[in-house]
Amino acid sequence: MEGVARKWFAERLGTGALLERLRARQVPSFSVPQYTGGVVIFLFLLQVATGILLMLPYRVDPASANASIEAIVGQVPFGSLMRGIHAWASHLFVAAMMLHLASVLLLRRYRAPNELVWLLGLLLLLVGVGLAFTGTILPWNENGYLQARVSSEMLGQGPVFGGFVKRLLRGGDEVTPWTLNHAYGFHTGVLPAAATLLVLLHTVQVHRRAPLADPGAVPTIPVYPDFAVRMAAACVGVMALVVSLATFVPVPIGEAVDLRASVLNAQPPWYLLFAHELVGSAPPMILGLPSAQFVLGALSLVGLFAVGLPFIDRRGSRITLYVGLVLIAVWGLLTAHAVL
Amino acid sequence: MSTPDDTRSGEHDGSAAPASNDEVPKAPSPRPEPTRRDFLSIAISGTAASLGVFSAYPVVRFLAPSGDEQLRTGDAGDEDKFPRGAGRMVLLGSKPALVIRLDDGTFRAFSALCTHLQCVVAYSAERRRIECPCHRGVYSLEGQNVSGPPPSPLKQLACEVVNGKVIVSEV
Amino acid sequence: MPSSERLLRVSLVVACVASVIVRAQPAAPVAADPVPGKVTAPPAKAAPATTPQEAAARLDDAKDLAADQQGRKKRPERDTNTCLTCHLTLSDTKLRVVAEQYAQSAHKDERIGCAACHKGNPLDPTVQSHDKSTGFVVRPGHQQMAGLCGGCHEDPTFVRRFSARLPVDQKRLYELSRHGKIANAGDTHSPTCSDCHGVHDIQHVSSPSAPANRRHAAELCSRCHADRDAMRPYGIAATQPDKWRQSVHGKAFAQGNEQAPTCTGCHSPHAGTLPGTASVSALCDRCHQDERELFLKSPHARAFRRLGLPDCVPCHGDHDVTRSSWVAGLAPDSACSKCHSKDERPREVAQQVARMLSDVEADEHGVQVALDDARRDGLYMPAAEFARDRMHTARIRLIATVHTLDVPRLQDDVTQAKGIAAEAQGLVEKARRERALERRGYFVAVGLASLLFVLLVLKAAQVARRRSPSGP
Repeated sequence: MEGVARKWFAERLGTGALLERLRARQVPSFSVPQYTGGVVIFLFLLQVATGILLMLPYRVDPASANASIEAIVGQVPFGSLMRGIHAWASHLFVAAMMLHLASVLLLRRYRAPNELVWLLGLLLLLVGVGLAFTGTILPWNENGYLQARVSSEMLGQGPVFGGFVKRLLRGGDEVTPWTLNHAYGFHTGVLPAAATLLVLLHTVQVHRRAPLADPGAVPTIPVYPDFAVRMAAACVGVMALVVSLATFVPVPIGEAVDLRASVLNAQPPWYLLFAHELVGSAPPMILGLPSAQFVLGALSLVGLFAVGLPFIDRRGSRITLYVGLVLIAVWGLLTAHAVL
Repeated sequence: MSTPDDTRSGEHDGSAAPASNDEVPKAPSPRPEPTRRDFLSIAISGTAASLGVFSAYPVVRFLAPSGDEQLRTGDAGDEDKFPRGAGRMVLLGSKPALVIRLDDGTFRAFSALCTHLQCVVAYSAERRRIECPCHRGVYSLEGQNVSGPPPSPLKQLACEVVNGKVIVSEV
Repeated sequence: MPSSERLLRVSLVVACVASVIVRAQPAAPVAADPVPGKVTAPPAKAAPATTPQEAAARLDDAKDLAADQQGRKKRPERDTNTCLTCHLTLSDTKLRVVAEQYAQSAHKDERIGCAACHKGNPLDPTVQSHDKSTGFVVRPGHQQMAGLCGGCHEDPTFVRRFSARLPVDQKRLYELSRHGKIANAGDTHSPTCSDCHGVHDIQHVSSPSAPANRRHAAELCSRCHADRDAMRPYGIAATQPDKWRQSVHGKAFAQGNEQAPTCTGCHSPHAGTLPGTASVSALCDRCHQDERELFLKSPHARAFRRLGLPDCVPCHGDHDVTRSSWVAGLAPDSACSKCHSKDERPREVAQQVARMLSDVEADEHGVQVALDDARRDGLYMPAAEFARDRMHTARIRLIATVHTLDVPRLQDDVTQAKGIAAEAQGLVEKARRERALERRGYFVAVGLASLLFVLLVLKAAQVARRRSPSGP
């Protein structure tokens, strides 16, 4: 009986042809970038789902944003679960993106003909971090407000586009209640749309070109059913992890920010700690520039280098591997130092 | 979809979406099918389906909260059901707030915690003022501390009518 | 040029410059005691000017002469307070500092002037202005201070020229006070105006640097009233400032609550004990009016009157007002035990009241603890927090209504408070139960998910095995 229903849908939706194509398509069986990428997409979809749910009771007004989240957690049925999932999945999302990036970098998968994939991926990284960043502003608590101010101030020190980036993040020159609306629009509209588009392009581009330089070197499996099953298992595992974290480790809501009161210290999000640590522990002036500008300039250079990487390193030399490892280690040390 | 020469019969979607069983092959060819294959696929489908239903329950409850679980972030009710000269207590998050409708129809909202020792103040419609039961502190309808121990006025809150509902929020 | 010669030239130049500078210093300070004949002036023993015009005329002559003699430039405008102008230039620190202080003080207006207290001739820029004939007084006597200050401060017409708000009854109140009475009798230890307000550096009492500012009242009074040796001759214990500091009023004041009373809150700063009051309890209801009204309904009101006891003090103390919840009860040091050690019915009431207060306090504490625990576990219960606020209201209200000692009515209030506490606890319980239910649901979901995970892994293995039957 179920087979009849399946056949009915398959005839109308054309899933049969799709499945056949997927059966024929081969992908590497143990590719780390592949699995991490899949996890990133899964988490993104999870965030979209929980995010849409949370949009319903959330109030964007700076005067009641914080109270509305308290109400979601305290009064809406399973509100604390949905909010917890959304909060924890955001951290895992950024972590998965970084793992994905690290794996691609260390395995040097950015080489031709995957340059476009790499560039789209970098854009996606920006969009993803932007999503996480705008998300922390939405509870309109002291921590979010302060770190929005500090981080946008710091990023505004970057060269050339610094001012633009700052105004982009703040929705103006200063962090005002309008910043909340601005962040909300980005978080629920602009960035998810951009992310969806870029992810489609990114994954389609991955699977369009020839997967590897020498296809026979790596064992492969068909997308359907092998890879699909494995990916499903991974997603189920990640989902279980997210739900466990959401259930047992509460995320504090924080007090609503009082713009007139004197404020306390705030912690930047963990993925930006390295930049704050760099700026914080640098001497006031380096080479005649204020240290914030210098550090941001240096980071921008690193970013530029990353953009140009596929064109610079065409053969995927080991040097990139070592440089990549060093960069990751430095990032890790800076973050660890900031935490401890 | 199974094809006659497809040796991989008994195939199912391995994805997490609830799948259907493929228990009886259409063609009555006597292909021996080990029971373990069926069992695994059935098991996956069954588990995935029940997990799906189980996860759908919180989502459905979330989307349609019942009456007493409704959000009360400073929602003081419908504007037309709020008589003039009346006062209502409402929760703003977890803090009590007092909403008053003046005789001219405008709304005022204050934090309902007395500035003396944080007792919950009450509105007196007869005397048209706000009173604290603890030490008989008195506030005017503007929230000014006019008599008794309160050292400062009540904290002002913002109050406006949105879509016919009276909404209170922090300033 | 050889270096030694250069050194010589330099030192010569330095010496010349130094001598010029030294020469340019004003003449040596004029001694306080007039030295007759030192400075030639118009008739040295002339009577002081009787009219301002005469004084002005004399001043011009005197100024010319003085200016010539001292080599100073002639000043065109009239200087009505030459005391100040001269003293400010003196190099004797003691004499100059008082002038500097005065020039910054609240009295620096030229309509007041040094002569108001020191007499002398302010129009005379010479040392003759200190002459005995001018009535000059270096240091007015202790007993004269009040009269001197009152000379201006009791005159409303004069005072109102400078401030619309200054009171004019300080001297009268002071004379009614014990400080004033014994000072007038000659006791120099008792404070007079200058002892509290300062002398030349008087500031408006509202200025934070004024020693008589309300914020410093306790320190000021403690100077004498916390000194056992100083207080012994008067038979006053020196314990009050410390007692006040330990009291709820003192602690509240120290924490910055400007409404809390300090010494001047109950003791008039000039009159001391308020005239016409027998006890400080006449003042308690300035802030605690509700408690006073409620107390008057209690049997204690009549009883205290009959016994000649003041109202609030027998139970709460005066300087050492402590937390009200320690007052009630039958403990040996409680207020009730002071009188009711043997009477049966009052003891019952005392016990009941004490138990009511401690029960309600314990309930509120219990609710707070439950809420804190729940919050720490990530539960948010806005309704329960509101119930806690109402519980708090009920308890604070009870502390006031206890003064009626009307047990049945108090019992009603207590029952209501307990009802609110139960509601709050119930809401917390409900939230926890919902959470437990969710947790159970979670375990089922995770169980299913783990099962699904295992099945999928097995399926992946199965698919792989089928693809390459000879093995992976």
